Amino acid sequence: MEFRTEVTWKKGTQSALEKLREHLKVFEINKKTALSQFYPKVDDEIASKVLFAIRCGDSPKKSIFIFHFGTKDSSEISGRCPRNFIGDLKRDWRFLKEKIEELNLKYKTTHTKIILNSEILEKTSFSSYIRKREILAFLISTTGIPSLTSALVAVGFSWTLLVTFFVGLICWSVISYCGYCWEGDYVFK
Amino acid sequence: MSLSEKHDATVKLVSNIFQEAGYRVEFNRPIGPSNRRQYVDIVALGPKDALIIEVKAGMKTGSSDVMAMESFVRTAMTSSQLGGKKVEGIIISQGTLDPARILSKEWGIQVIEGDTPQKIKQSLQQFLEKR
Repeated sequence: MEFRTEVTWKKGTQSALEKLREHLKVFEINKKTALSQFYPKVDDEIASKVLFAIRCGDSPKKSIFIFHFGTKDSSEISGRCPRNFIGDLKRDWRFLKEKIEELNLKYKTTHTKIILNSEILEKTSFSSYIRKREILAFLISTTGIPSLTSALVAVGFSWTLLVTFFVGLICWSVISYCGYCWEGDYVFK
Repeated sequence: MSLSEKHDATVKLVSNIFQEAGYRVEFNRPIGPSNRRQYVDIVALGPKDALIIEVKAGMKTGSSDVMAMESFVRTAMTSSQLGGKKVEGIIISQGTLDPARILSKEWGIQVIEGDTPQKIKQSLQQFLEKR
């Protein structure tokens, strides 16, 4: 499982990458060793085509990130987690982003992709997430809608009841959306 | 059409073009040692040459893709299965990122850009005519 992104460095690619390399020196690893995790055969010539490689992150085994040489406009970062687990990759990329942001380097990432066996994995839609997690079914069967119906039957319509229901619905939507952002599944699209 | 369907359709289109041009086509061929084995979409085998083809549906070719292809080519060149044929790499994608453009030129990896079957077909036919 690989992570790839194109990065546009606002103050120039070359100087940004040099600053970054200095800042991340403690995590730097041998380029050939790192590239061997990505490709079947790596020699010195292939290794010479990347700027530097690091191993860092918050996951138990930490991901390897490769910083590719850039042009004036952009550069690329690719990452791979040893456990081949998307959660690891996301955590480790977040760690790396924090390290980049410590330097106050202005940047923008575009073309960010998570790839498995050369195919792109994309996040499922919010609606398929809530269907898969059975959040909607849970809401209908156990809480909001039956409670609202029984309350309407018992005491009749009131604005307080309606407002309470909608506040609950909004909270449910927000919490579900946070869950989706945090753990929404990636699938082949 | 989903990306994986688009990928499969492009693989089929590309393999048909190479078959028509007289190549023997193999799909999902493993490359590399068992601990780092990876699979390439198509290997097209001609009498004197072998073409390794990767289809990147819905994405641009990045430096990683070019490096992976160069690594495949170097692995294949040393493999006895290809019997000393000249090996070349082709990546089919919807575009190329700038750093990857430089790298692909340097290593002679052909990047066919196209997001429609017509464009891909046309570019591949032009590529085959030049050979």
